[in-house]
Amino acid sequence: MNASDAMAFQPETSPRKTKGGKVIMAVATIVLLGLVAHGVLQRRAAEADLALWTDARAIPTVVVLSPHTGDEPRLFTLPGDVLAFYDAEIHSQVSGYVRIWNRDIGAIVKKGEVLAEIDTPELDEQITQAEQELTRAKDAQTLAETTAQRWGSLRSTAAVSKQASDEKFSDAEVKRADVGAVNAKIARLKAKKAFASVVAPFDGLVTTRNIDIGSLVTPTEGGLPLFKIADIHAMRVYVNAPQTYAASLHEGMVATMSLEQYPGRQFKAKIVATSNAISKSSLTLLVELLAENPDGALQPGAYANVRFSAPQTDQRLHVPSSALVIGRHGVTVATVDDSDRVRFKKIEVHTDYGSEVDVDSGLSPHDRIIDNPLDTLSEGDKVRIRAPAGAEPNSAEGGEPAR
Amino acid sequence: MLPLVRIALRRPYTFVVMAMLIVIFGVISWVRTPVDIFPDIKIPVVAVVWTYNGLPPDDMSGRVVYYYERALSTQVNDIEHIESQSLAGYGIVKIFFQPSVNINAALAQITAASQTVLKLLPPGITPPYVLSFNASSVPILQLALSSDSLSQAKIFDAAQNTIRPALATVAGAAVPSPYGGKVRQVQIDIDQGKMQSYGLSAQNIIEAIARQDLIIPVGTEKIGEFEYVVALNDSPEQIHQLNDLPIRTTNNATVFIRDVAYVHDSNPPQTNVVRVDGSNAVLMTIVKAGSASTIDVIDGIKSLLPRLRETLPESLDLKAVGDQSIFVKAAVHSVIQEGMTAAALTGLMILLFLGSWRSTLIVSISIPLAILSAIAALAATGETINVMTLGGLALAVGILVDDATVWIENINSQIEQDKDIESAIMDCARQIIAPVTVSLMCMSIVFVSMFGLTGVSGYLFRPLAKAVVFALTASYLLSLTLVPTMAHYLLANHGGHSHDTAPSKNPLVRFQRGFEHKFEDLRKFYTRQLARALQLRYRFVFAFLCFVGLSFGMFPFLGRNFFPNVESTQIKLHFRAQAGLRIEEATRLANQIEHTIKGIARPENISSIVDNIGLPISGINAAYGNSGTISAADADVLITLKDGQEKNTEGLIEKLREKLPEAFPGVTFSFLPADIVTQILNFGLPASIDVQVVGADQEANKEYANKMLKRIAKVNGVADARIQQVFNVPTLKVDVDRVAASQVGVTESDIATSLQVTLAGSIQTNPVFWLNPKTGVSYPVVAQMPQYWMDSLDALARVPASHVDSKQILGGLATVSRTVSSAVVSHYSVQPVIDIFASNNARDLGGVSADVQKIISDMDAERPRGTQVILRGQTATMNTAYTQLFAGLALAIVLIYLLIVVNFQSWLDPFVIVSALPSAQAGIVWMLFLSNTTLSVPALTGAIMCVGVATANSLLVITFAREKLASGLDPVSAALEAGYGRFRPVLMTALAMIIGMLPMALSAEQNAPLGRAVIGGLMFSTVATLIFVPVVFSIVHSRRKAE
Repeated sequence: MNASDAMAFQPETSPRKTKGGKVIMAVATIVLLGLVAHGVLQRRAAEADLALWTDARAIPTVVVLSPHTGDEPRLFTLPGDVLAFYDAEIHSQVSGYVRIWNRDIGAIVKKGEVLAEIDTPELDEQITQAEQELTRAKDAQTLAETTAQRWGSLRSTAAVSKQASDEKFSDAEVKRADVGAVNAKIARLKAKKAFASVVAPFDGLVTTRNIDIGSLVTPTEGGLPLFKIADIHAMRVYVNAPQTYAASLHEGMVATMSLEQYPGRQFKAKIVATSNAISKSSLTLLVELLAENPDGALQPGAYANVRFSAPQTDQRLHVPSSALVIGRHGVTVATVDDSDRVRFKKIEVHTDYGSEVDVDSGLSPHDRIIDNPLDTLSEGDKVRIRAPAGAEPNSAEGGEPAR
Repeated sequence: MLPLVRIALRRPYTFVVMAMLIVIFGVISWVRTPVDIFPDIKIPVVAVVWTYNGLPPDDMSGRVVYYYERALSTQVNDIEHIESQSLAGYGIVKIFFQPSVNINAALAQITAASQTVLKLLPPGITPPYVLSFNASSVPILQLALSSDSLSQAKIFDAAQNTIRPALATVAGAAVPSPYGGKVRQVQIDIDQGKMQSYGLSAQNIIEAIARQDLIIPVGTEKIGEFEYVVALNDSPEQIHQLNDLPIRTTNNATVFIRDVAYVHDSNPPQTNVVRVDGSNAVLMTIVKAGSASTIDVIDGIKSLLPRLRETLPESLDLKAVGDQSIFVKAAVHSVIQEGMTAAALTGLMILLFLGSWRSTLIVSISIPLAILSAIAALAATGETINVMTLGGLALAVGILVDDATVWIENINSQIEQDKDIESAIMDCARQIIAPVTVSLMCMSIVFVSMFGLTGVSGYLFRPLAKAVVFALTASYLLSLTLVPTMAHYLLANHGGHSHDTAPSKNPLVRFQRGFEHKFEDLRKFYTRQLARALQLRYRFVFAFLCFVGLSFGMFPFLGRNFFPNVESTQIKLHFRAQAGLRIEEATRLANQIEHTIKGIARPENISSIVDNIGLPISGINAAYGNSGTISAADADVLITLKDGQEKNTEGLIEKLREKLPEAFPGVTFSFLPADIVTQILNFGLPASIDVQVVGADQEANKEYANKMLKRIAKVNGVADARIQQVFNVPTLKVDVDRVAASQVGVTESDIATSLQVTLAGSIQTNPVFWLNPKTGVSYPVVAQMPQYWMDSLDALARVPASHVDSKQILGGLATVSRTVSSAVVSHYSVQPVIDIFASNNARDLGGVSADVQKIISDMDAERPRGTQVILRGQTATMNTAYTQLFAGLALAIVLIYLLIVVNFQSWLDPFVIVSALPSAQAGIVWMLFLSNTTLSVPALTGAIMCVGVATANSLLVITFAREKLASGLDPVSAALEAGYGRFRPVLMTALAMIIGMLPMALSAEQNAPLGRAVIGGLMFSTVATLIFVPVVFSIVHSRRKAE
């Protein structure tokens, strides 16, 4: 192609064409401006919608609840030792070898029942010896009495001096007393011999047997008892209550006990006495409870968890602990005022029950308290209130289908 | 360069062979190169995970993490910044490095630093896990394990001890501990009451186990001719045998472990529950680590699964969910398809313009060859095939067409002057080598400007720029070598446009002729208009500049995003219930929320719902996690909609944002990015906007952050505004009266030990293990009071205060009061930080973050002393990327100007060329405005591209005009001649690119804004090149002449 090709298009200005061009230009300008205006307006509208939407999202929805009054008792559990009503250790009064034992551990025994018999050869020997002594003494007494009679009749004849006669009489008296003494000795030995039969001191349960046939028993101090017998018709439960709980424990309070061996079973026990003094060494108050034991299920020596429930005297407002807001300023709750704005109220917690607390001051029963408050709520924030029931999933079942 | 052309003509086989080699190596690279969604973002991050069972976050922060962070800052080089999260039991320190770091040396230093501080930390703490990963380490696949007959502990055991080690062999797969399920552990359920009644302590039990369950080799004995191995029953073979170990014997009575405790195969208290479609399951997340490609990792794991299934119990159901390879493949596939469609369309267009299948053949052979060589070069430089590199190649296709076409056009016109083929080619080469070279350099300069990008955008866009530059260079070289070779053979006797006017019966030929005719009309029309513009040149230039200037008025309405949103069928919802909510309640809540979601979304639209509730069992998971889970009250709900529901995702999210907070007051909801792209861009953060309040005065900062949150929540387009740190975890404070305790012979340490064993378990201070001889797995043996026995304040008061034979209980020596503590303590650069997270909804990120930034500066007066407020997250990355791209663009324009100055040896003509560039930008603004597309990094890439193409086109026109001017024409005529002469090639190039970009522009993919920007920019810049540039040329040169 050469220059002339292009030159051919040098414009020959014609008014018609210019006019047409102007119209086209005008139309194009209007169309473009229209497009721009539309675009700008559309964006504006979308932005305004979005602003509304965003602002609506910025207001949190909350669930409110009212505090309720309640007098739930304060519950606490302490370890306790279960002991028998009476508990006797049976020791031997005689030395000797066990000949036989009749009752084993676990046996229920009646008062006076023979539990074991002890062979006491030494004692028997002593009795025999004493009896022989008695014979001798009796013989001596007989002789002395005969002699005295003789000497008495001789005295009447004044064949002997009064002195000699009195001596014989006195000797007879001594010999009589000797017999008495020997008799007493025999009685003592026999009484001792009676202890060779070990008997139950009261109705109860044999809890320990430390002897067996042939074992040697001696009446020494601090030796092992032959048997232990416990009276278990009722049990005494001793609890060392730490100082903190001391004020809540009173005579007559009823507690429930649970024992490892009876899962699920509760035993009733009643406080019958407290030591009314805090032990210096353990900082505890000794509390004695009595528990009836009709079926013998409670066993002496057992470890029990004793659950006390100390009743609360005043009616206080209760708040679930999920509503508490704990921060720099202590414990507060977020409430909603009449204009649906958040107001924080400082409260004094009296007792903490774990999932609820009761409140000493700071709340009125008509307060609307926000449950599960967001950490970001602050004083004066606007909130939307929703009834708590709606949180159930079925409320959503009626939702519209997705766009 | 000319010698190359000469070789092409003299020794044609050389370049045929070269083409074959390109095909061979190109295809090999194509097959071998890993396919991924994004280039590797090699910003090295090392995560250090400290574990100390039961340590509260405040203590973790104060006693472990601070020490360690200080040690790191003195011992490790090239740290960019350190972030840390202290959770209950875990401390996660993430160390971000400068890009120049030698990561191996840094790892060694980090490990050394861990050893240095170890002695200063709480007793019994073990050295930390050190994990190295980068920004692209995101979850790419999840394996959901469920069973109707196996226990949760068994499922977890299979996952942890069978599947996890097997998966570790897949290159590039990092498998953190499984989520959900129950961790198998030998649990000694101790009964404090029973122990107290025996006068034993938990310590005695642990000691008994340690004394009886031994691992001591006893040796061998030689008897006769054999050496016998002597085996001792030092470790029980069955768990229940541990029950029969004696603790001690007193009064002839032996106390066995079974008397005071119960040893059984169990699990520690659950902290993490996973539910897949409503039933409990175990979830294994596979994270991509290292340089392996997403697809390779997923394929590797999937190919392992059948073999793995055989080693697992039959009733275990193993399902792969959340497969990101589908997304990656789809993304890559769609880019390839767009490229193919573009190539086909441009091929047709060339056929139409050139009217010769031979010419078209040359062009269409050279394009794939250029692409293949670019791929080979990319592979050789360590790039992967990904959306960015493919996008670059797709961009390049348009320009490649241009390169080849210019040659063919020119050769044809030379042939038309009745030259023989060889001299035609040589003359053509002489004529166009200079402009083609300059134009290549211009394009390269433009894209090189993208190399200046730093951070995430740098890693993303450098490969794209590389791809374009490689493709262009390849195409340039091919047009010097292969094109002449092919032209030599193919065009020898068939060159030129079909000028013979003999009527043809072929309808296609007739159509082409009809087109030629129409095109000629168009060219005439154009020339008339150009002539008029030249006549009214001042008015025209003024009007044009006004129009361009005014067009920029629409710019503020565009909005700015970092990356365009992509539609996805996945929604990731995170909810956080009231602080301290127990896992059982959180699970119940998740169930209700799931119901509500199903009510809103309709069950038939939902493919699956996976809940991941609570804190994972291992700190490693927390290190990889990016959803901001900090306690059992947190949960992620991953909702996958049925295929084809992509369009509804956004509407559904909006609806959920409306309904859920109303239905569940006190619960915070947020929507996290579910797609891999945004997850990568967010770089481990759960939201795109992160306002950090950094400073030591935590109380004041908390209040300040709270105030700021209220204002940010009201910003137009902000959604899910929330504070990440939770300060109000309900806490029971046990205050021991030390004096009273000492009076009864109890020390604080007795109470601490007793409480620890009761509540936390013995594992941290007394680790004991039991080996299962059947499977070879060791399980921890832990003494702990079962949690269900500790269910009231009273139970806490009843905990024995001492391990000696004493009936003292905690309640007697201590008071228990309520307080609050933190669920997480976060640090940034060794300072405590509070994060305000927010996402943008239905508004561009740039607009939202500008408003947020304004709030930050408005509130500066109230800022507590010494506190810093910084806007981080995607916003910061975006702002940096924009600044750098704009700066790069400006620099590119200057460089181009200078280059052309050298080329033309004139100051004015380059100015003429550069003056056309604003019109291209105006075109982009128009296009984006009308198509309601926000500005984004891909759109900016398009703008850069347009600058290159506009320059190249204007360059051709001006070169031509200068020639004419030199030949003695007056400037106006020269301009007219240039316009007329270059009309065809310029229009062809522009059309080729516009058509090439059409499929991309019309798609809903990440790169759609790029396509749109290029189309808009080219439409305007072509007009500018064809009319504005000649007019300005004429003005400039007329003036010079006048002078």
